[in-house]
Amino acid sequence: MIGLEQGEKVLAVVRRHWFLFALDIGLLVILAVVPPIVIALVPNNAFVGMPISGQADELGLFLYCLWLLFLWVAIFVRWTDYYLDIWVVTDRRVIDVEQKGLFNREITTASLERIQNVTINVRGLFATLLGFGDVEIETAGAELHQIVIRSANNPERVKEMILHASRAPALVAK
Amino acid sequence: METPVFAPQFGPSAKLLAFLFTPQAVHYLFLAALILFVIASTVLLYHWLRYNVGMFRTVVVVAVYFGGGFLLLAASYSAALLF
Repeated sequence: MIGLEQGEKVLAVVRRHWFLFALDIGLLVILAVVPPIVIALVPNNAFVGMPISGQADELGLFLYCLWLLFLWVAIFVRWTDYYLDIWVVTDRRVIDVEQKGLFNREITTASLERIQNVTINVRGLFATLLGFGDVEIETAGAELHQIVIRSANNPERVKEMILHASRAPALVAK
Repeated sequence: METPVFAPQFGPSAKLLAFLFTPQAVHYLFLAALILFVIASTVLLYHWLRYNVGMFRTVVVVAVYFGGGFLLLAASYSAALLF
């Protein structure tokens, strides 16, 4: 997925918490069940006399199958986006691979020795209960730069790992 | 191509609906959906293979994706034939 330098060791691969992906999929599932519910609410005689009245069922089934096909593809687009959107912590750097949709991919790297500060941000009920949050990594350089690991599972552990690796990169490598 | 029968008591929207959903138009709609599915599948497959999702995971995802996709395409084509 990303090119590592010679001898570079991966310490952790961090993804957004599964709950956010599940929320996305939940929304798509809701969209899948909306048409049958709407049709069930429409009176039986709504199409009587209309030019398509004789074949409204077949037409409805056809359109519903196309709708499900669209949602099916959308589920896999969301999964691909979720799966390829990662943060890699190695013994030398933090790599932010941001997959924005299918046609936009951005890779940012921060060297461990340039890390100045790591803060975590846990906001909201679900984030607190399920234990996920943002990890903000500030680095020094020509200009102050920030990498944000969004909605990481167990942000405290990720923070500790990054700080430990940045303080003693040589020890971590061993 | 069957000529849709327009009921005089319906407005322009009903006439448009009747025109759009002739059997031939439904088949064209299916063809358009099929083309879009092929394009979307090609893009997804490219990502799964290009960015090293892992062989086992790729095989499982491809099987589930195309299994479900072909099932839905077959169901919609069957409905289009019945229309």
